[in-house]
Amino acid sequence: MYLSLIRRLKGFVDFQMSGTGIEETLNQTVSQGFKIWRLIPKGNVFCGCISSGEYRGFAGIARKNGTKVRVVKKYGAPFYWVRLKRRKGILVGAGLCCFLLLLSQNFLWSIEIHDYGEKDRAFLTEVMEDYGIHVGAYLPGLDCRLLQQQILMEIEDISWMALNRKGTVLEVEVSEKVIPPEIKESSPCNIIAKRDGQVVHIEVYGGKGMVEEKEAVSKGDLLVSGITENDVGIVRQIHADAKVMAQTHRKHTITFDLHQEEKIFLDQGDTRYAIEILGVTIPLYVDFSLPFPSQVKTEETPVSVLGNTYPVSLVKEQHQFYQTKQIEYTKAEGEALIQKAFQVYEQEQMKEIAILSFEEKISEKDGKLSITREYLCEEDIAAKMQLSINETPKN
Amino acid sequence: MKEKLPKIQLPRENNLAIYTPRIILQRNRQAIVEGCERILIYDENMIRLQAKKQEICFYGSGLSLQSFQAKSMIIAGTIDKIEYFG
Repeated sequence: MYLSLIRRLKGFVDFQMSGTGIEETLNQTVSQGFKIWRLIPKGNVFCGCISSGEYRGFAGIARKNGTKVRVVKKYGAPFYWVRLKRRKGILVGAGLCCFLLLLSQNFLWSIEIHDYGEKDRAFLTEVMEDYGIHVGAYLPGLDCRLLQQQILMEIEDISWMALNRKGTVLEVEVSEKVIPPEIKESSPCNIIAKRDGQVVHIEVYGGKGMVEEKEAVSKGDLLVSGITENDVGIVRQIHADAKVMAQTHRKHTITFDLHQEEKIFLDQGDTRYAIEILGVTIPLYVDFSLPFPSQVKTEETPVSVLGNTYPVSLVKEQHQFYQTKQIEYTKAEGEALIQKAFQVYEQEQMKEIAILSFEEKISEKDGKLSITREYLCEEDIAAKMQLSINETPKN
Repeated sequence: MKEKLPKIQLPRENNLAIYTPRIILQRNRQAIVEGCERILIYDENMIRLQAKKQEICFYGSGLSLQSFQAKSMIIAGTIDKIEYFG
């Protein structure tokens, strides 16, 4: 097999010889160090093979001995090369293919994110894109160490991440932040204020109360201490627990645009396909115009062969056509809608808070109606904060 | 000073093979012949070879030279008889 491959690479010819002195021609040829193979006699004619480089010498010997030799067929790379030389398109294509293949090694082909939730993955991908990490990014321009630090600072849910380059694939290793467990009922803690306010009522279940009723407190102030001292002067750290009701102020603004543009979706739509190579989208359609404005839903299917992902993906664009309708709301209508939005907000965001009163401020600017409600509330402002215990060794 | 070691004369088996014809037969279908210098007669029924001191003749049908190099050749076909002359 190897011999055949070498012969093909060097090139050889099928020859036919006839006439007188065939044996002598063969003897002289071989004595010159030439090799002949597949020499088959067919009546008065002999067919055989000889290396293309040795053929000229062999033909000369044959001529001297009065043997007629002619080439029947040529095989091997040198003859292909001669043929290819004429067909410049193939040469240019092969060269271009090699060049593009080498060039493509400088670009990011795919990103693999490990051990991260599907929902968060989309966010991480978005953040990485902001930092220039996307399929088709120029690899020598990516400083993975610096980028991983920047992304780590950007996303709070991640405690550690690593960007590992494996050829043209970027492997993203992520470790999610572990949320500390809630403070146990037995562990020592203080009670602090989670909002600014004026204490109305305080019920201490454990610990030592540090504030009194009608006292004003700021966010973070100590309300109930978990460090107590008994009559004989022994200091204990206990789990403080209390209900601290306080009057607080909250503010919320809802803005509504009185000039609304409503989309009325039509039954018509269009599906178009495109190919994305290294982040560059090549549409597989000629007519770019659409009869109506559309909302596009894009599905991307990356090309994967034997588990390897390539930077080529098929993009399916589903266009849902719509027509826009301008709607003008009056101030009264806008106010009514904002009031409804406030009701929803209060039910969802302030369900554990008692609203004592509120003041409304209405303003209108550039066709936008804004209502700000300033609430006077009564709520529990107690928040537990674990005590850090640093034991010093006894001498 | 380093002492010069005596030269060891190794038997040159390959050279021996060149001067004395050696035939390796694979059934009667193929013969590898070493140590032959020339082809004297060649057709599909007979190949007569010249060795140093002898002539060797292969008889058969459909005989052909699979490979022909200096002092070595492969004869293929149905070999019926091998004769030595001289």
